[in-house]
Amino acid sequence: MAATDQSMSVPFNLRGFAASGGILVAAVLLLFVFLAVTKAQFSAYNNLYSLAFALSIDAIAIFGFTYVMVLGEIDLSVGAVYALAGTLTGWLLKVGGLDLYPAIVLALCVATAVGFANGFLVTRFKVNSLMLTIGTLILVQGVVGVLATDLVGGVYPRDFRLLAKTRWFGINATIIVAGFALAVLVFLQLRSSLFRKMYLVGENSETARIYGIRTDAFKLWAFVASAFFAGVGGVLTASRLTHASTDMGVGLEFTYVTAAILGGASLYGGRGGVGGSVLGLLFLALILNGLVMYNVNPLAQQVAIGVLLICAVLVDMIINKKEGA
Amino acid sequence: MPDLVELRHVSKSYGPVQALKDVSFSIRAGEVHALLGENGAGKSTTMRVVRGETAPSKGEVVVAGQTLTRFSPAVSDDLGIAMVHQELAIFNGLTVAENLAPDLPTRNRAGFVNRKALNEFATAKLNLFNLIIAPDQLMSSLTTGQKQIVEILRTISESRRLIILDEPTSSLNAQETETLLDLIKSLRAEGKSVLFVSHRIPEVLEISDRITVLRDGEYIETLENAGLTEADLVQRMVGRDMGELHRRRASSGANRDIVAFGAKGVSGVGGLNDVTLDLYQGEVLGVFGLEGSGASELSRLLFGLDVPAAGTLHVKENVVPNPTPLKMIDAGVTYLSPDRSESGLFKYRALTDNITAPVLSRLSRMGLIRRTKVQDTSRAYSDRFEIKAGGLASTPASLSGGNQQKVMMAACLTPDPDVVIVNEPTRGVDVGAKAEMHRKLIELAENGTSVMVFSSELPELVSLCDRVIVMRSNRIVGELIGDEITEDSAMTLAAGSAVH
Repeated sequence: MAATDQSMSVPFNLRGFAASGGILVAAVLLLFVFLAVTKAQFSAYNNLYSLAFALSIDAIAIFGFTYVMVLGEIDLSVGAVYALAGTLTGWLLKVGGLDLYPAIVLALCVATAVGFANGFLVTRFKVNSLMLTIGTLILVQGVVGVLATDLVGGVYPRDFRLLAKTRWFGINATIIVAGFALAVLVFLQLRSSLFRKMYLVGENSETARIYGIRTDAFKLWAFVASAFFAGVGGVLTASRLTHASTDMGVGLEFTYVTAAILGGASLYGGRGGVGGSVLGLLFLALILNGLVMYNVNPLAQQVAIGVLLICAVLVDMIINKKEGA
Repeated sequence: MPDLVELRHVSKSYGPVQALKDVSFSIRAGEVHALLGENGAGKSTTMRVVRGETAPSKGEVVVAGQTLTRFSPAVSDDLGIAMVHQELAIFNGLTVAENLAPDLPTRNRAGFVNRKALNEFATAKLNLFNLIIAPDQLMSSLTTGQKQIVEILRTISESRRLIILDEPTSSLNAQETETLLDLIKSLRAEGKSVLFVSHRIPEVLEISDRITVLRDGEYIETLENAGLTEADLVQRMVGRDMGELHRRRASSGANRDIVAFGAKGVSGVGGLNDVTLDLYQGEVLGVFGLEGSGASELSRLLFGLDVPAAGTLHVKENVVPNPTPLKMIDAGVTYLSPDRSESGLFKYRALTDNITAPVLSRLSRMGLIRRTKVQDTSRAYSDRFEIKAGGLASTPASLSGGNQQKVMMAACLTPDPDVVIVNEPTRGVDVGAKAEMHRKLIELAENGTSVMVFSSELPELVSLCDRVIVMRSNRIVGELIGDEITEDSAMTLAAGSAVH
């Protein structure tokens, strides 16, 4: 192999830096230090711990969603499915009279079936996943509304309410599960041939097909995974909320898109990963936490998320433009 | 008659690829001028220069005695030069009349579209050419041929002096072609000039006054269309100096007793009709067809990229049921993508990912990639193809066309296939890389791999192939073996006049 002049000069590489999460890591650290220095209550153990606890549940819910984006598709039904799994578990317990674990398993099966339907329609009929999952979102949200109305006024049974509070070795189990799953997935992203193929499909699915990769199977299972993980997150969140709410999961899809894109995913596929997405979630959580500490009107907090999403998408566009040149 | 447009020593290069070399010819007022040449001869670039869509790297363009200094479609519009592209630019949701006059001031006083005036205008235009199309018909209800004609009509107006038509008949049937040729003749009768590109030699002979032949980006000759025959034109299109590069391979290593791969009665949704062929072990089989002949559709069907309407594929004696690329690879067949800008490369992934993509599972243990194996395999293939890159971590996006092509070829060979379906193996690569690629393909065949080459470059097929199948109108129209393979014979079959 001969070296050519192309390798000689690599100036600052925006794409490499962004993809490796450099910008995001720096932003998270800066924000963290800023809040720690300016607001004493931020670095209080209780505040940090509750941040970590909330983050752990969202982290689980964003795993599958991230891989749908890696494949160049999107699953906007993620928030609705999250609400469905949680609310349905409660409904099965209170109205259906099931025991806790059968109820959870059944609710997760229903959630996963929604993901399967999404994936099936996208791969078989080449439906645009953005439009399709908006449809699924509306449909599932309707079902959640019906279920939640049935449950109005009461709290969930005690064993369900305690689920999210389960502690192992003195810390919340969700933190351990999320951390462990994150580590496994990051390892698989780096080393597993299946995950490598997934990235190849996301980068150029026609090329992947030519090299014998079953592109449709990847997409189908990514939608299934997206719904499954969203379902798990939803069950845990419902347990944490202790009662049914029609607001549950509303707008969550936009938070997740923002987090995933901040974490290096692209609307064009082929990039991103669960590490980046969780870091993106952490960044958003710190921003919201900071806004609360600075007594910013909660309604105005939405403005911040909007601005961040626009910035993230702009960066994504700029990176892709550079590549296109 | 005076010259309307004159090209003086026009050259155009795109990066390292020289598309036009010193082309000089002129288009007279009121003539039908045909541009003839093989794929890649420089016809499209010439048209784009005349139309002002692209500026020449060297040389000048003179329109009506005035040397162009700025190349833009807007300038050309002012000069009365219009072009109808092969890809139609029509509005399917609008009516014929609206398509004919998108910018016509047919509004009434209130600022609304005056539908009556619009339809009258359209009817007048349609009648001018004896066309039976209702002006208020929706564009989407027309046949491709009718759409083409409407688009041409749109570009015609008083101020137009030259109309450029890029392969206007490629998607038309015989009757529609006739209508179109009549239309061109009536334009000429009105004193307008037409620059016309077609692969179909009989048409070119029927309507053009003069014919300019291009070959490999070079100007060959401009001929008066008087007493010319198809053979004259074919010979000028292909007759080239066969240097070292294009010398025919002396002997064939094909073993005609063993069929490595074949298709029986394959038809496609896109029109491909009942194709049966066999590829022998160690053979280099070429498939040649002009655009629209069905050759590219065939190549996709043979690899399971598209679902056939009928027919079966078999590798050796085994039929591959419901073929998909994965099944074909498992059966020992791989595929080189015809257009590396579309597919065949992961442009922003490391060379290692590209080269080992088809064999990732084989290079893994318990689902985990064995990185040293990936590295070793990539290095071995990158060395074998002498890929010049900054390292295995660099991406194809940073490589030259020739090296990108080598990366694709390497990826195709990592599964160690018995059969390789190779499409346009040397598209857009320089002469050196071309020779190397040819050497590799012949080497493969000599080692017992069967190679099928789909190429639009005749010299390539002549120098590589033991046998060439020629396609036209979605079917196989001929087979040339050994010394029968010449550019003339293949082109004559491919451009044959009658549609059977």
